[in-house]
Amino acid sequence: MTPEDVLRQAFEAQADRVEFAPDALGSIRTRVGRRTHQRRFLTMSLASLATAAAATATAVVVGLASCVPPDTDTAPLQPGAPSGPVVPTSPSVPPHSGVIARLPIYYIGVDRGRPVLFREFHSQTLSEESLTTRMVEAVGIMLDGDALDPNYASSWPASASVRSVELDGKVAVVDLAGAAVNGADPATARAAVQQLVWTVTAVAADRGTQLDGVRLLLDGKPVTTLWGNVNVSGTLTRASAIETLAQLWLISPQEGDTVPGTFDVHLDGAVWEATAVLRIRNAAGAVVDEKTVTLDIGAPSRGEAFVTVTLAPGRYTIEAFSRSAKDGSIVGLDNHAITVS
Amino acid sequence: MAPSLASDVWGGRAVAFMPAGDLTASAWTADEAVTRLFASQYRPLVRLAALLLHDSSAAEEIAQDAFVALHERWGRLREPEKAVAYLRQTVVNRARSALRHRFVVDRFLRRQSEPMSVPSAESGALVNETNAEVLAAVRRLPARQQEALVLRYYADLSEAQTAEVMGVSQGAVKSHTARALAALRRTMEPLS
Repeated sequence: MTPEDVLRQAFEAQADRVEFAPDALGSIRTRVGRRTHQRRFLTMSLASLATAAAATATAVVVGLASCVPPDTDTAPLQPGAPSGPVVPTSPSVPPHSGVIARLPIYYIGVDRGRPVLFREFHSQTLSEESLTTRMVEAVGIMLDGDALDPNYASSWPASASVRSVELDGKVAVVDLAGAAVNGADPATARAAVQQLVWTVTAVAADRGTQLDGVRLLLDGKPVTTLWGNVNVSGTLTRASAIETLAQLWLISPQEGDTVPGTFDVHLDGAVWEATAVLRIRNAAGAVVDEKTVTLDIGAPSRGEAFVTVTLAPGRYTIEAFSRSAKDGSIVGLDNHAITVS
Repeated sequence: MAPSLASDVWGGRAVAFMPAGDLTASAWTADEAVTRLFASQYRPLVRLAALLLHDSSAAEEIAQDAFVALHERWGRLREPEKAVAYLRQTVVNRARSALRHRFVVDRFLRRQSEPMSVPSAESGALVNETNAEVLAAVRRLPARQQEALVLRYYADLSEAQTAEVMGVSQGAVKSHTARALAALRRTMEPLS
């Protein structure tokens, strides 16, 4: 391997660990809209002043008054232009409030009888901005199991709670209470442990910190076996994505989102021949649209795609799935109920 | 309804930059340019910024800045090829500014307090020890040399494209790259 190849491999490995927030295009459009509005307001104000300079002082006041901006500063780019989804869990930030963080949380869903992980982003106000605070909050949200999508859940016991999360060099030490007993089957129990590992390492990666993994403590004490069947000694690392994650994620819109009439659907997954299907059902369950979506790369790598969709106001369910290479049956189904405003 | 052809669907290449020649549109509005280029370029740009900055949250902010700037400048660019080069250039410039700012803040914090217990991205471990050693060695290089390596060997840009993005001559790119590789050789020789 040449030095250039070694470099390429190292860069690729680091780049692959970057986590993405789900509504980047919406953020860009909002910022563009705000700048456009500010520019328009400035131009109009100057024009009004120029006109007024040739008129009376009273006319200046009238001219400026006519340029008072509307209440909203997030007007769409153009009438009918697409904009990002409105995430109900993202309240607007009042001035001087705590930091609102969007935290990646992994939950368990089922694909053809197999427990697999899905990811959602949850907004949470932090008492202080630090990586360990983010990890404590994220693990707390994960243990609550209150996923936006009703098909996702946490397989940790309901009594489980976070005592602390601390960093020991490259390892996050997660101390839990009330987590010693769980009735999950071995496969689900292993998935639950991966839920914790993927959540904690994703929160760290999101802040530019790459962790080796997670060390688990129960009530402050090291533990080697969890729930009688999962080995949790030493540092727990992410199992391979292909074995752990759901085949296809419908990243955006998230479950319960309210979106404008034209919006983007964001898919991410490892699917055969990079081909997924996007199907939209109305409130009565009838299919109103179905299209083939080509992800940028096929299995075993995870690819993604963005698809712009236009719908009349109403309630819909968006389904994303792929077809089995063997018999054409639906695999990897992920669906979210949304409202189009 | 039967699945429609994939022609109405546009996806993005998430790992590498789409060759600019694949983009065909001459009459996009600024909104369309942002929307379409976002699909193919956003993630590669975030990854590029993350490699330059070693911080993925700031990387997203910088990539978004680049798209906002592109929207403003679209009237003068008009061509997707130029737009992609402009996006890259903006990301590199803003990453430089962010690094300068961080350097000043870090120096201030070092004077004010004890070292942070949170490991920085450079000390953050990767599963692959070889990669970690290589990346740590890259981070010890001067900023311009790091830029040249990331643009040449991650973004796969030619010397000419790298020169345009960095705002330097091709000769300077050649010399930054050669010096960087020479400096890395000691680290990399046992690995290659």
